[in-house]
Amino acid sequence: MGKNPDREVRMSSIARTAYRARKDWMLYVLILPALMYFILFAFLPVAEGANISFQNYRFVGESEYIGFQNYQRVFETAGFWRVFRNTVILGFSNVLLTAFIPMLLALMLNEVMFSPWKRFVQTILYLPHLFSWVVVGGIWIFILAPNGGIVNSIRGLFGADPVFFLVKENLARSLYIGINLWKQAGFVCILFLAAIAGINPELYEAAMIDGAGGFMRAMYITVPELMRTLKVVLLLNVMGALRIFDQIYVMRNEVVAPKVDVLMYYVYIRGLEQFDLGYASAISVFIFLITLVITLIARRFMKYNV
Amino acid sequence: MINKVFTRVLTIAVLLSLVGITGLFATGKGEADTEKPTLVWVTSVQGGREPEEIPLFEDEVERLTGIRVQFVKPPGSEYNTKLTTMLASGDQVDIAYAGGGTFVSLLEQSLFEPLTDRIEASSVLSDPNIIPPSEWERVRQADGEIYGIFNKFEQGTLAIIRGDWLDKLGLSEPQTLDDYYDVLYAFTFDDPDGNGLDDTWGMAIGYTLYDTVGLFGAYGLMRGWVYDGSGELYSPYATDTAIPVYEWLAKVYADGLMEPNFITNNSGAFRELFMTDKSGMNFYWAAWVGLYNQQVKAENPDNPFEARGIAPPEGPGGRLLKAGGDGFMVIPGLSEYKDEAFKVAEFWHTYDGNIISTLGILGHDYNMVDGKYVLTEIGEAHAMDHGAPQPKSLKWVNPLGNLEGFDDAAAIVREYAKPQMATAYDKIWEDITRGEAAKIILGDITAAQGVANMRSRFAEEGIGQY
Repeated sequence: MGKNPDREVRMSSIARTAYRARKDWMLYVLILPALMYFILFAFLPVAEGANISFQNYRFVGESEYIGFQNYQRVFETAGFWRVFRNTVILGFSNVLLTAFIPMLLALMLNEVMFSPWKRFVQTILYLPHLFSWVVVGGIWIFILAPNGGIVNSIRGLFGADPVFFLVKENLARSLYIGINLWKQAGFVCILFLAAIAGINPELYEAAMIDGAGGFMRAMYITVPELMRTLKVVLLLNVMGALRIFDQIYVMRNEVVAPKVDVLMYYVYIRGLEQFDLGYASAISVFIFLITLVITLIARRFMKYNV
Repeated sequence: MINKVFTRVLTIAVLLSLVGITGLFATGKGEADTEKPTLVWVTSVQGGREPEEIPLFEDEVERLTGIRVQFVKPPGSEYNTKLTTMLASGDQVDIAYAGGGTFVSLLEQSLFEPLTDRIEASSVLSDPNIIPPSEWERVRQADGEIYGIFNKFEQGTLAIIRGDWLDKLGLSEPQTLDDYYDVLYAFTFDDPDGNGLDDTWGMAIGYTLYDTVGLFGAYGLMRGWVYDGSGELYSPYATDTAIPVYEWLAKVYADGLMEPNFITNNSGAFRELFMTDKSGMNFYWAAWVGLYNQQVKAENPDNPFEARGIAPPEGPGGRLLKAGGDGFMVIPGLSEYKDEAFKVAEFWHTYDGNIISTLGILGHDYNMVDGKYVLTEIGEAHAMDHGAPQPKSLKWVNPLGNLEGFDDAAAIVREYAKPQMATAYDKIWEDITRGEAAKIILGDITAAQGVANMRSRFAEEGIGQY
């Protein structure tokens, strides 16, 4: 950036920072609105949440500081560990499936040569992503309903008794993971297709000259070239893994609740239904810290450098 | 060079914008201080029925009280979240509707203004011919204060049956659980709608157990939490006494007499099934007896449809129904317009207040013709419900009369209904009880296992004594 790099090298780090700030002050002013947005709407609420987690919080009047008592209550409640387990199972299944299956779909779609068909399939795959969870939940409740649901109507044609899929405890997690995949796969698939489109065609031409077939080209050119996109997708998925809420809020029912209730829903109930804000904030801080640690580990593990 | 100039211009623009934004905040506050106060009324029940009717309702309140109000009316499913968020973030809230567990939880947060002195000084609210003193005593808190003003007469829930099907099949009104089973069986298999198809169910319910208190009441069991003799909370639905009722429900389901979506149905779904000849019984508010009749007849006046409220089954525990939990108008302690807010809440129980809370808005929901109230087409569609279809006032007599079947249903509720106690743990009760009850009804577990599971899960959450 600087016009005189030698002068910068000779300075101490503090002096160098001050020098750059003076020189580029206009750029710092330009980032002020974005910075203020993040301070006001991201950092301050997180800090206030952490503050509340150490209080017996009341909406009005003085709130008493109670140290780590809220955290102690959280870790001593059996219900918390149940939802934590559910969150880990659902969250990390989503992380893996909504990364690798869309990649597989993209690889398969890339082999489709008939463009109209390819575009049609892409559109069909992408469509669920446009719907909110309220709509998606309604669609699947309708599809799987025992009375009038599409699946059970088809089963009925073959004389089978209706099955109430949405209240089968042993099916619940698989069903929720599958529906999440159905909703998200199209979007992630498009990311991979965009990455495939950016691969240098000369690599394929060279491989073809060397006699590589379609499978070999996919394995030795396309897949390695998709690794950077896969890392981004995995990292984004990991960051959202513990924050599942919308789907559970819309689709849960009391029968499968012990298998699918997740941390964010638990926070919602404790905080906004029971007004136990200190307790709910303690869980939120816990989620924040766990997400931070997992994200840092994931970055290191994946040598994220995009 | 061009880049440098552009950057400088942009920098100045950003600085000016920041200054401008700061100025806007300051100006906005100054202007607000000089305006006539507008009360913010957060509610899920009172006011206009449709979004476009809300401004008309605000004008009507101002016409009748001289006080300007602004309604905030979030959807019912998001109501608690919206209200809590507004209160927690210090937003202006001058009147709020709160009932059940929400009222209890927010009261524990010391959010509400005590209203005892104001109520005692009010010629309307302290009039025993409007609200009996015993009712105020019933809602007086442990500290001796009253924190909410009633919204309406809360009625209660009961079994609502297709009276025309009953008559057509030559059945009499059921009196016991066995009778109820026989009626449901006939409604399912005896082609009550006469179309020659096997397309009816005995009953359709929703949310798993909503609101089948009448069935459990045959064994004297009240919904939700109850204090035992030693002052500990317990759930009557989780006791062994409830086992025969769960077994009855499981048999009804297994024999195909219950519409199978009973876990995921919302109230709109089971109401629709009832009004479209698909089910012959549901459990719902007494007011809906009249509303069912009115809505079906409005569609087709020749339809033989007749919704009828019936007495709950009698059993070893007698008969019992659930009265509606109290819903209150509360005034947050942080409101700057407590006097005006109280005047509006007081107005709600005057005759004009009763008219607006039932019939609605003059010139929109109803007109005065030769000194008589006449509903408009919109008013007919709104079925005389603008937040309090049955006002709390003992003086209230609906000038248009009540809807068909309502008076008989209300009489049954008055005879058998008791209010459910509201606690901060009601949501947990719903989750656990409904979850285990559904498994029993589906036949996945026995009734004995189900109630044992309920008790262990309540203990896991640290609620109640077992």
